Amino acid sequence: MDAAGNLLDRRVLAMWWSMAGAQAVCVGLVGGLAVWLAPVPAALVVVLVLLAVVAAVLIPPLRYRRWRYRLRERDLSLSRGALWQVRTLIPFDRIQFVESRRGPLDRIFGLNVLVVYTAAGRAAHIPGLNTSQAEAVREELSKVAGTLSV
Amino acid sequence: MWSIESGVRYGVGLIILAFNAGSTLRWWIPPAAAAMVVPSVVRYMRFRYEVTGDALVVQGGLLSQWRRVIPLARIQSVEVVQKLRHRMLDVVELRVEAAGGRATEAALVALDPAEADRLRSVLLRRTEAAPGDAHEEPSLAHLHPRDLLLAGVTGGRVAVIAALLGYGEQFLSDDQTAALFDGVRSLGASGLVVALWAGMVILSISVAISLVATVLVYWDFTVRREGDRLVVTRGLLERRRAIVPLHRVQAVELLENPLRRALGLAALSVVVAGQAGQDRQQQETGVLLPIARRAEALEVAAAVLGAPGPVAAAPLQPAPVSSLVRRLTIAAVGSLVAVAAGTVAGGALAPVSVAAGLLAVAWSFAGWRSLGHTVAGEHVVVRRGALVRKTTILRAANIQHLLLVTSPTQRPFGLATVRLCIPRANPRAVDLELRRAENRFAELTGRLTGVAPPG
Repeated sequence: MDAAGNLLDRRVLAMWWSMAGAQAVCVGLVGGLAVWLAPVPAALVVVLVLLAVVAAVLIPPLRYRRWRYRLRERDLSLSRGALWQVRTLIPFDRIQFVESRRGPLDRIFGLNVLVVYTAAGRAAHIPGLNTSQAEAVREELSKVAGTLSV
Repeated sequence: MWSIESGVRYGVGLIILAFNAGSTLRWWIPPAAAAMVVPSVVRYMRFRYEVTGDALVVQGGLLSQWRRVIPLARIQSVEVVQKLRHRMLDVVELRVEAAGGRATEAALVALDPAEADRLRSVLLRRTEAAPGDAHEEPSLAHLHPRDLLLAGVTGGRVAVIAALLGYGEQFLSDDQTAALFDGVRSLGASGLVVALWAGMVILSISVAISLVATVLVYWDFTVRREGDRLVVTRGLLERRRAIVPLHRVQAVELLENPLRRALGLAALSVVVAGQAGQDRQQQETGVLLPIARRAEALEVAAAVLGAPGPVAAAPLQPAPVSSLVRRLTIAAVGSLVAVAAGTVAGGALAPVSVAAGLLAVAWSFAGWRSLGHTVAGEHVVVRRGALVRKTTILRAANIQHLLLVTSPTQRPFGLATVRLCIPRANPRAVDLELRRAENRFAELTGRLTGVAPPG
């Protein structure tokens, strides 16, 4: 797949790591409880927790490296995914509206999320844009959305 | 109509109460009845609708007043419903569906049929080629009672049971079947008889349910084309008349369950933008043909999509062998894990997990065989589904956005899936060779953006 396009802001990596870390901790806690309260083999739980930790360490950078967004002449093209690799193509004239979001976590890391909708529903969810990136993409999309006719 | 509805709803309860309650309670009943009826009367008096310029304005409200303006251009379809209680009063309900909403945007619950007809043609005026020129064309399809019987017998539950029996027969070895019979026989002759009877009863009950449901819902089913709209009328107790503007049709789905596939039969439904697809009634509205011979169904599909006849019958590109290998590998790994778990958990579970494994293998084979896709002229055809085979035919121009997905299990086998996102459906060409998937993706990108794909 093509490697051209814009990367997300680097801070998103820290956000993903912290989220994945929290998930791994949760897996550890649930596993510990399971061993303590129910007859679950400890070895199984150890393997699961190790898997969760490895995934938490490895997947965010993989995902970061693969995330690309590109505003082309007539479409928005995305390429993303660590395990499920997905390429998305959204023609400008099919875009219904663009939404920007900031969740609590996004605010902590100073990031923005852009969501693009077509008539078929949510077409793109671009996380981890810094404010100027988000501004630029939104500006560009609002300029072109639904204006080009094929 | 509202006062009648609530009158019926609460009246029964009141009558029952009147009989059961002691004499001390009785004088409460008239005020209670009034409390039930008055809000309906007020609602009726407050309810207004009118068509002003290019919008439908509906207002009403009991305590808080509301007013809704629906631009005519946003109206996707108009449905006329006549339930039993409507029939008693000779009125109809008009439901207006607009783009973007999840529920019905406006329901005019009781209209004079003539007024409903007038309103419908006003609301859909924009979508009509020439108003008043809706000359009656011969119906695209009409179902006779015997077709309905066939549909009921081969539909839904029955087909699933029959298919399971069929699969079971193919993959259970003889001595396992014999063991099963031995088990039954050990209960004595009466045990066998009871088991057989139980099976028969379950089967006939499900056939009966399916039959009754089919007859009630699809009685006198007719599809007619009027100008650039599709008119579907159906129903025994509850007559329904649905109007679908043809240009709102996003795709046509041909559904074949195993039993119907064996008999060369299929059902056909349309995917329409802006139609509330959540509840069952609306899904039934999408049915274009509850049952028909496959070739016939394909003809109707082509007519609805405005496609040249051959498109619907175009040969599909089968999925590559690597897709079968992938599916079998997944099934084998899954079965091994299941067998191992079964053995660990205790010997008694082992046969079950072996059977499950065999079923998984059969499933992956059936799933692979049904895969297919093609691009024919302006249309894309994709097919998938292990048990119920679903063929989706859509106009390439209706695709909103495209996805090319490679899952972790597809990557080692060099496969990918192209998803064609259209409103209200999720067609996808599954398990294409990566190279071919990329070509399709590029080709469709070119079509959507009007830029020729490079190379």
